[in-house]
Amino acid sequence: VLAQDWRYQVIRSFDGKTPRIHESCFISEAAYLVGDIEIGEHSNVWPGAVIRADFAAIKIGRNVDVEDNAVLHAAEDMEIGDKVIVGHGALVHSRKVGSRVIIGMNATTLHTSEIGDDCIVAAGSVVTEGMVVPPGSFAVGVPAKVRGPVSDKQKTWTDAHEYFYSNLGRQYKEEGL
Amino acid sequence: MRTSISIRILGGSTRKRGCSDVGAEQQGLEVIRSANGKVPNIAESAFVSEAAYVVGDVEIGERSSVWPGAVIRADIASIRIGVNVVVEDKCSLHADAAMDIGDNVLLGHGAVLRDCRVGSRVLIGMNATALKHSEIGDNCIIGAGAVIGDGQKIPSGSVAVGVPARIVGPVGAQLEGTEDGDWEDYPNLAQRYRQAGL
Repeated sequence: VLAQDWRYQVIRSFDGKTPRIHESCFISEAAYLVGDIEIGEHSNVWPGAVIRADFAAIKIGRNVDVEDNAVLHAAEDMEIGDKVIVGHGALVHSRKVGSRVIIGMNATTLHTSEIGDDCIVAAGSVVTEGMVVPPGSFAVGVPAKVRGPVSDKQKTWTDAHEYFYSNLGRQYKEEGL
Repeated sequence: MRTSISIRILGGSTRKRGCSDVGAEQQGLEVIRSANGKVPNIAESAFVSEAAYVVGDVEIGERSSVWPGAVIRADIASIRIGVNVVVEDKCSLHADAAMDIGDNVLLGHGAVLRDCRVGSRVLIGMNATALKHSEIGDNCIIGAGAVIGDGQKIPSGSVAVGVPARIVGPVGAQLEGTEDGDWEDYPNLAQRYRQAGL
């Protein structure tokens, strides 16, 4: 029996739109993806995550990790760049998220917000409706405010994450999870 | 009732469980479970996603919808949900004491409600939390990420935000157009999901 045969993974078409997921991606068997979704090379979606593209499309770049229980839902088309980490439990409703961005655990980004390249949104923060976080910013709090530039140390986090998670995703994929 | 799920057991085998009724909807993964002899009572026109989990003494009114990853767990006390209520993805509702949610309410993604009472025409922001014995009146807006403390009461017509939640003013025009539960066209979306067997 091939591992694929008993996977619980749920990827659904909706309104004639089927998620287009690059073959190198790892999508957990316990994730739920529906609708007009595009996911680039070497991105991973972890258990419990929900990506729901029914009102509008969601485009995800390369080497993006959507961690456990994160929710991506678009009221209007959403685009996420490359090397982005969407932390555990994070809720992303943004119009645009740049590349090399970290959305901290349990953070929330509301409708029509835009997060530039090389940003970090701290854990638990709420990026309010329509807020534009300029590139290279460290945004913190409820509501989120830009506290300053991302530090040199923080800049290394997305690289370190990619190094570790690309292998981890591959391993899960090989084990049929 | 759709009660079929394929569960992957550690060790690599699969089995079906809870599968009783036969029908077009049987292939759905949706999980609706009884607990303590109480079976969820879900209105015919309500939509419960195949990836949601509803258990115990739950009542869900007409045209309400429950989205993927949401958990409604009424194993200790009852949870009553009115009409035109949207329970978005990854919400958690769990009751130690009877929990009541009115009509035309939107619970944003990831909201957590524990033993709280919620009025009608209420918007609860994403990732907000309402703790034990809290009460939210009618026509309220709770900001995203807000935490309503134990026993805290939010009077009708208030906007409450922050951690811990504090009232920042009265509701203005924000709730206009929600009398019929038409949150972002959710009733229509739910019907399309139902038709797609999701």
